[in-house]
Amino acid sequence: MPENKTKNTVLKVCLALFIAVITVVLLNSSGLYDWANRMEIGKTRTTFLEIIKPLHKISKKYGFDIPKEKTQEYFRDLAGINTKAGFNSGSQKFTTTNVDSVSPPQTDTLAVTKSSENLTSAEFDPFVKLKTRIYNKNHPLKLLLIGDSMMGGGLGTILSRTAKRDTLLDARRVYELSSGLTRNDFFDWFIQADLLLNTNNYDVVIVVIGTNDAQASEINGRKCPFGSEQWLADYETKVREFMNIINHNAEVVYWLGLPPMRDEGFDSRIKKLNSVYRDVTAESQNVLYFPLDTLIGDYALKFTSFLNIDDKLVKIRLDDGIHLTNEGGSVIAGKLLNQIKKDISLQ
Amino acid sequence: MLFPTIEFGIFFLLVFFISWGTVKFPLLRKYFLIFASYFFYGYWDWRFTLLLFFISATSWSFGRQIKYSENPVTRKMIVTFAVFIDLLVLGFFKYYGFFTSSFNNLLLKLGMSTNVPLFEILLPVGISFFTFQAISYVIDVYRNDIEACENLSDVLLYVSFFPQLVAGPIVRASDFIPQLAKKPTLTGIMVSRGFLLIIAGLFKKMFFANYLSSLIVDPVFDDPSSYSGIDNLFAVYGYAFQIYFDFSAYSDIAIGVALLLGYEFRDNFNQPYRAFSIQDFWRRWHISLSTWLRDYLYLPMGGSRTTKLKTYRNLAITMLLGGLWHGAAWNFVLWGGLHGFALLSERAVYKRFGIKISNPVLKILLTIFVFHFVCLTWIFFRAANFSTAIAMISQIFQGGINTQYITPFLIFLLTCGVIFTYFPQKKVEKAEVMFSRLNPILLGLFLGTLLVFLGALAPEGVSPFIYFQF
Repeated sequence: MPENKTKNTVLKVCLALFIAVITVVLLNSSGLYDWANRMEIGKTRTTFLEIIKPLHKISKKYGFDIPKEKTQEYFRDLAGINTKAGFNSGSQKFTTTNVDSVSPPQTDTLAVTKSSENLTSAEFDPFVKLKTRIYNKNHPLKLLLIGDSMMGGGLGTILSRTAKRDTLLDARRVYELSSGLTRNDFFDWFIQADLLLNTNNYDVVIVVIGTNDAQASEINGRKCPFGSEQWLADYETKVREFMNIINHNAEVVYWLGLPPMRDEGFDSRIKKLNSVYRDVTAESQNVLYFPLDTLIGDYALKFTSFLNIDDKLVKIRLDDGIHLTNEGGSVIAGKLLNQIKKDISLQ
Repeated sequence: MLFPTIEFGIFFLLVFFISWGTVKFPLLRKYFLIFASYFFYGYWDWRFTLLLFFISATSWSFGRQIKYSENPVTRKMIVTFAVFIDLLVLGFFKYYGFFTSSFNNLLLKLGMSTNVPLFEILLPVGISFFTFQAISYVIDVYRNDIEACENLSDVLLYVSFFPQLVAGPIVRASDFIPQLAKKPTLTGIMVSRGFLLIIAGLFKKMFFANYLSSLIVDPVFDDPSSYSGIDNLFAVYGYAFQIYFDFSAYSDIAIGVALLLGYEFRDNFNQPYRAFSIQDFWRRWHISLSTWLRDYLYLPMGGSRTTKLKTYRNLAITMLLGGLWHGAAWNFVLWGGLHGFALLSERAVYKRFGIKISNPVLKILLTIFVFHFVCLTWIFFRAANFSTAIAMISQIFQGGINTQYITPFLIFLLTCGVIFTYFPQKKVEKAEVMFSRLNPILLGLFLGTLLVFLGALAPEGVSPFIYFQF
């Protein structure tokens, strides 16, 4: 009877799946706990955490997690790799020449909030230390590029490529996909930035972060919806704290605003984040806010997939309506690096 | 919802239990699977479930009209219109920006002003796959390969069935719809094959493809001129295996998941890098697309049963459109064009000299040559633009052996790629039989341990499958 056979097989598969789930839960409870912890703040996350927490405790108590941890450790040592996907801590030294960019850098249209050319003699000049140093092929200006997937994609790629083709610049790019400042449980930028900047000295840090921050956060164990007063106050504190970590260990910081987004709802959230960055960076004299909407937005500073560059329509945004293509990255990289050079009188 | 995630694991467990729990009520089961598939698709963007429904419902309606129309001219008109609608949807969502920007650029080059508007259009995930399935349905009905479905639910499920919905394989209506009429069965061998495919797919994607991508392919393809010839060469080899692992992983998991739900799909890959000719390669790579293009494009144009010149024309058109199917960019057209050119050159040479390859040494040499030709075309497929591709080729030919990325681990990954290429199929079949004899407790322990082991080895985080963008 094929029907009975199917029924028996289904029952066997159900049993096998049940055993498999139990095995995974016991041997990898920390992985499951991390997964639940990383979920968007809300009821689903709370429910999963409540289910997984006691299992995780039992698993920890009896050491069921140890085989996985030991395997992971052994494998990392054997392969000599960092097992975090997308985290690029490439410490490349770049010495090649030539600058490539779609449009030649022009600095006159940029709306950087502070710039050496706008300063009166009585004001503090954040570039003063950098201006007194001599940069050449052997002592290039040290740049650190950090951020989320925006730095990992076209923008970061072209920024680091353009920088490395310039003998006066030495760039290092570090990014973590899906990261941000609201969810330290996923990736703690505060610790990572501290580590990065304490182990190396950088003249200039370029930051682009926040694409993943337009979401609810957890404040004192309670869900706080995005954009609420409490959320904004908390986010401002986080941005300030992060800025101070970077600021403390670098001469000048260029904080890039986020570009306009295709989805209108998402774009309005991003605009709120940009106004936080603008306000917080204004508090510090050597942190400069560098808006992107003036460079890659349309005539109304709104999202556009194509820009007319040198009488050619060029696709500057990826199909996701969020990230930049390499060509989009070129538009920004050329102007930003040129602005930096101009600010510190680097020839 | 991506396959190698806990979310999908939970989703699959629920679908498995409920679908087999409702097996005695076929209509209920069908509705449940449609609901699950729409939920799966709506997880990305629920708005596109309406598009999915529109494509399915129009195909179902046109299918019925073809069925009830006896006039051959009317039938032809209906099928043409149905295909036109599907292509219009595909063209609008996927190619509008590409064609308008190319057209505008042409006008700008000619010094003419241009006003063709560039809309901001969101690309629905997997649109190329489900529109091709919808086309397959109406054409199969027109050709009387299958009978038009009376129930909309059959076509809804055929087009949206979640395992193959977003990245294939492109399932034929004539293969899938007849299965819906039968009561699904599940045998021991189906279970063992299904589980083995899922496990193999997870390892291919999470371990091999992800490491190859992050350890060499992405950084070198980002900026080839900063790296030596050998790094560039290994990045190309790395990409050849990355795309194979990535795409075949999706197909493996899709076929495995469908099998566990009682449905059979045809294989989509057959060790493609063993091919000793370009024609052979296309019989082994993305089989569901190449056979689709053969049956619905190449053969209707006349195939090879026409003059020599027309045969070459048919081949060239098929391959150029096959390239464009992958993405709205000139690099994909070039990729398809190179394969088309190679196919027709190969055909011309083999016919002209009556060559038949039987010498094993020659076969090996040809396999190496074909692999390298395919690698060359992958450069255009993967590179962000034409100048990056040319920079990469020039770096490879300029040489240089200073490496930043070649490590013993990378060599290990590439060696595994070669082993996968030559792994004997008979051993896989033997493993399936052995696996089917395991008792459920051992099977569960084995599966659970493998998943934990994979979790320990794979990089953290999940990257989307390459073919999602198509």
